[in-house]
Amino acid sequence: MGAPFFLVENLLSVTQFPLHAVSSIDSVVNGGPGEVAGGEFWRVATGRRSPLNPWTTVNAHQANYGQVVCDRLRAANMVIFDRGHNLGGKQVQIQCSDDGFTTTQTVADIVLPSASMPGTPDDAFGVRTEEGAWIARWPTRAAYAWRVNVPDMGVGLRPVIVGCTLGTCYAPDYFNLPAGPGQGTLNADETSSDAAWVGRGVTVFRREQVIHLQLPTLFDYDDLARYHLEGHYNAGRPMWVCFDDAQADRTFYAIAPLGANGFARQPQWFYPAAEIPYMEHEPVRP
Amino acid sequence: MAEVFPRDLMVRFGARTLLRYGTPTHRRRPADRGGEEFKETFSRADAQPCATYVGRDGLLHIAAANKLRLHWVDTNADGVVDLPTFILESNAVTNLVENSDCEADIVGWNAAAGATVTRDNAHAMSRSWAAKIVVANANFSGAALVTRAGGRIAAAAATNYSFSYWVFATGTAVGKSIYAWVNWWNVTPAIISSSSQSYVLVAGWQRLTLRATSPAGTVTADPEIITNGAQGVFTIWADAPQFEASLVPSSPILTGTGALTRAAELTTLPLGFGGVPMTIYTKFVESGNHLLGVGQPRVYQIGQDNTNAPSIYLTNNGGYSARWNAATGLVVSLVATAPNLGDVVELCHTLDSTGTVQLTESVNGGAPVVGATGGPQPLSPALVAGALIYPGRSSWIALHDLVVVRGVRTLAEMQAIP
Repeated sequence: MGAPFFLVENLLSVTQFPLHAVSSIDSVVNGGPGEVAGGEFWRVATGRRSPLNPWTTVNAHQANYGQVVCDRLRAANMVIFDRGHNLGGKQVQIQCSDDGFTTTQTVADIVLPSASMPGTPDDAFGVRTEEGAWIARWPTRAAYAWRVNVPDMGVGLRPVIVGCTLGTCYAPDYFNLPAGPGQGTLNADETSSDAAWVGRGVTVFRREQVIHLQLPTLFDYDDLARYHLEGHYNAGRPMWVCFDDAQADRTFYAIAPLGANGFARQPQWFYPAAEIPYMEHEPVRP
Repeated sequence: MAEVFPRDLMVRFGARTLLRYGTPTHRRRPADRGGEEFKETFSRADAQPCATYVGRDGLLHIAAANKLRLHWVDTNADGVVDLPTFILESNAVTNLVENSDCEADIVGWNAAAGATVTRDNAHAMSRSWAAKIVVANANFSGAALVTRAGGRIAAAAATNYSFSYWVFATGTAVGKSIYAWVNWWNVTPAIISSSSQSYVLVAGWQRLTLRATSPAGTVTADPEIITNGAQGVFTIWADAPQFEASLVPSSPILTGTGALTRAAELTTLPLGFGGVPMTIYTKFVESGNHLLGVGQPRVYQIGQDNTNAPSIYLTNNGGYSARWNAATGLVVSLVATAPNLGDVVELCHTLDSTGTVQLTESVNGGAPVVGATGGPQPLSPALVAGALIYPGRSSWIALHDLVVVRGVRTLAEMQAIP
């Protein structure tokens, strides 16, 4: 059984990192006409999952990239493309640079899988989740600028990325029991007639539960959990949740429900512990 | 052994911090929520990008001006980099080799003793191209480095120089002997003498170095990459050669059209605490501080320079020396054993409530060596106005970790901090 991870930090988000500069270029060859109005690269970090709100480009059949220039040296070890992208079977490169991309280092160069199957983010092709998102992880790298480069996809094709999270994941050693990644609630507008016949509108199962996390050291709380979970997640930012990275195809996107949250010192555990509630963010409609 | 708690942590900076926290200086809150007000200020005012570092892929990469360099070190000579560091070189250095990168042409690389030298992209330590040298079956066969105009490199007499280059060997080249060699010329012109260091080539990339002092009368020099004896015909690739007026070889400066200078580096961390009992732990790869003049380097300093008390600093006097310079006097703790170039050094510098200083050192994970205490001299609250500067003057460090905590701690307690 693998270990869990969370990914909420997103270097592409100017909400999280106000001093970062996010941009894209339509053509790496001749500095093309720029982004499509309404399809700017910064949209991949808004947390919206609508296929009507992606990054896409004007011109097809050429290389394109989106990038972030950070305000200081920043590390990252994971990228997740949300469902709705059109990159299955296509090559994607995660690149970084310390000289404004005069020279470029390729962190990951992957042809995305077209089908979902069990796997870990560390696999050669990453892993495609059950709802079509894609995850890749690499040994932590650091740079002043990061880029998502999509080489020429072919005739008539331009990249479409609905959401992209690029940052450092938080990977605690384990979740405490009980842990139920498949648990949730069935939601619908429901009415009942005089004859007790039930009618429902659109019915959606939304994963929601509570993650039990007991940290093994004070530093795990101060250095890591406080930043990722209390700092980002408890600010209402959507977060990718994976209970078992050996089955990372079951990773899902979650937000914090309204209400109390956070770490505390509990009677039976010396180090900080938390009940981390989540609910799936914009679950797939049937 | 008492545990160090997060609340005791005052400063954490370094490559280890970067890979754990995601930023070079530790932060516990997101940037937009005030979590990065305490951050490093770094400067290296290069006129053009030329400073390099070895990346996680084991190859040289370029950092633009004023950018920290995350440099990976192979600490166990197995050919795989394993220790992340920040290169921090406090002195400006000029690479006198005018075409070290070979990206555009091979001008300035002359064949010697029957060798052939061509520009090749089969193996490159930096970017795409390197010099492919096919040596002849002869002694001193290889390449000599000259200016782009074809003359020897200008050099001064009685000056410390370092010559270094990266070399790639494969197949029949592995196991051959090769020199890092410099001829010193006078005004006549005639060769006064030569300095050299021989190495046995291993598979893959390795950096070969030579440290020498130019003799009296020197006006020019020609560094050479040449064979040590006739060993048959074989091929090597050479990249990023550097000839610099420096006691030790510094990180490569990539040139193409002329000599280039890498500017001095300075990191400053703002401090919000005064003269309190503290422990400063630092782990780094020794890069030559012990070769500088006695008392010259300032690996780090808190507060003023030693000529202006109060200050806490680390220097090298034939061994690392921790100091507390109070307004009423200077106290010292010295560990007389000097590390060697490339050693992984851990230092634990304590200052207690009485103003007594002590230094503990461990080299390559070995048993700690404890220096005698120095003091006491009363602590000064005036340090609250100071900054932690890393490095201070005349210092070379490849920094893995710098941690400052409240109170007096042992080396083992500091090493146990996650």
